[in-house]
Amino acid sequence: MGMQNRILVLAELQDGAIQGVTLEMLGKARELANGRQATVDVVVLGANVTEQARGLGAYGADTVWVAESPALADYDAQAYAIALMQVIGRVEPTLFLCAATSQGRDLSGLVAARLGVGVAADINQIKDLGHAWEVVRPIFGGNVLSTLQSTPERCLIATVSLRAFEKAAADAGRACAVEAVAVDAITTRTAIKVFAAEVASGRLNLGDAEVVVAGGRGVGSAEKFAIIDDLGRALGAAVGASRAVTDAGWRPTNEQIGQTGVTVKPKLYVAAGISGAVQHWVGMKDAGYVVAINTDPEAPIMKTADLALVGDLFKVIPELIREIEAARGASV
Amino acid sequence: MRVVISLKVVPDYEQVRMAQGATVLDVAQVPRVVYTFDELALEMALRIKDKNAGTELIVVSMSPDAAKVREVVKKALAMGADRAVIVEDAAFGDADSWAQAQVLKAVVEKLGEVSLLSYGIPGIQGEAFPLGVEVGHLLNWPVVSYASEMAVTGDTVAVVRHIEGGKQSVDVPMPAVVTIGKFQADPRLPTFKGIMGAKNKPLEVWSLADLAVTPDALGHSVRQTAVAPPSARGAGRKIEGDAVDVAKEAIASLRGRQFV
Repeated sequence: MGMQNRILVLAELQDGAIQGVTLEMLGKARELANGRQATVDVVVLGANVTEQARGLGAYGADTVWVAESPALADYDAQAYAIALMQVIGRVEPTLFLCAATSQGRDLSGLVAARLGVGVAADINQIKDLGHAWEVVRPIFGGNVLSTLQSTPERCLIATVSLRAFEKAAADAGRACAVEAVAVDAITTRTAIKVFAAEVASGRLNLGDAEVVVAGGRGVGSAEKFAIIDDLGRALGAAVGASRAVTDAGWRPTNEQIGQTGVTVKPKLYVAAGISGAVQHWVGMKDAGYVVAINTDPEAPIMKTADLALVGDLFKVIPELIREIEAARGASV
Repeated sequence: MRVVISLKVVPDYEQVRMAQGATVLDVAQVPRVVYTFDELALEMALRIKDKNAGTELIVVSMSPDAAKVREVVKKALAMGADRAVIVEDAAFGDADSWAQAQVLKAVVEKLGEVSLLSYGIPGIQGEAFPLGVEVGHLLNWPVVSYASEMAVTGDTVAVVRHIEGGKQSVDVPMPAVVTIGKFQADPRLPTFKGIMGAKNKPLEVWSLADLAVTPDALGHSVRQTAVAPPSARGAGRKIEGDAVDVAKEAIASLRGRQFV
């Protein structure tokens, strides 16, 4: 495959809606493209996505490639890879960015195999060396930062960690070209049956949230978890849980923050009744500011939190909510 | 039915540390563990074997040093796997996902008649060089990732995928590659009987030459050039006392940072 001076971003969609991480990748792609007079291409795969795709011009896309088909309504790795490869063949990018999500990780690997290159997984920094790309990714649970270099004159494929980069600023007047990709003939051997959403409507998306409140074993029961929801509401936060909580069935597994669950990167993280085992720490260590509430001042999370509140969460949280409401009242 | 599980042996990431200012990472003394999600894949495969008589379960591990992974594959045999293959080559030290996929493909082809290849999804623990889904493409098999449940009926594997926002059910014709992202059970412990029985199970060590894969064909397209410790995060401020006072002080602090 040849290589053109073009940076390609795979838009991340969930339930047909373009996700925030797409704008984060676009922000970085635009910055890199400006430094080397490259163009930014975005590929959007799905059903009924053209209007949303067109809007990406405002966030720095020069060309948006839209593969629209009922066959792409539900995620099917094989179908998506076929459509995606058509765009890769046309764009011949020097850099291909996907989100570090279930879809992005899948598709980056499938494209890598077709191009015969490796994937730099879960990067959070990228630099243009001119002849190659240099990226940084945390390895060993974030205990080490690894710098990687791509092979000169080869496309680099990377998955980008959520919230690693600033979202592109919108410029409403900026337009982009829209190219339709023909995807009539996609047939695959997998049969996608059903998708059952686990997220109750009205709850904020954890991975994207700027404020996250999480409860752990110390909450005690599914019923008592309401106090975590109350604090979440007061702070306008998404609500998560530790593994002990989801294992016990107090909360659904998709709310689990940690190594085997969701990774969050909020500006503010409040951990109540969570001891902060490494398993949990891996999922929230990139939070900007950590508040921990625990009766045990020696709990691991209390030693690394920016603010360690020693006390019974059932006594402290109602007071916190009262203070938050008082503060709100005072500022109105 | 032949099921292959790839077990990656990695340094226990919880014990990997770099001192501030260090530029070299030495993991030689760090204990080795099986990548958590590969272990889950093994347990899921053992359950498939429990339910489907005649299933042969083969564990495969690639390593620059067979001695380092021998105990791990022996444990898998003690847990109930039938056969183990270690692929040993110095080139595995920093093999990227593409290189590993080529080797795994060659292993699966050499074994022959494999219906299901499974292992943990990459990227969760930030292992140095994760194994991705590339092998599915190389074998021209369908790939389903982020599985949390697997059940085999005839020539089909029914997979539940646990992904952002919910669960998706997928029926996949075998042979297929399924990567595991979650499983609500801990891997079983080997029994005494299993440990004794494992001594008589076949454990082979293959080289890249046995697989007709040349080390230079592995070609690393992404290379590690430097390592560094993350910036240290010191202890913060502790607030103790009456709940009302603790809350007042905490919120005052959060207001100062414009969180409230």
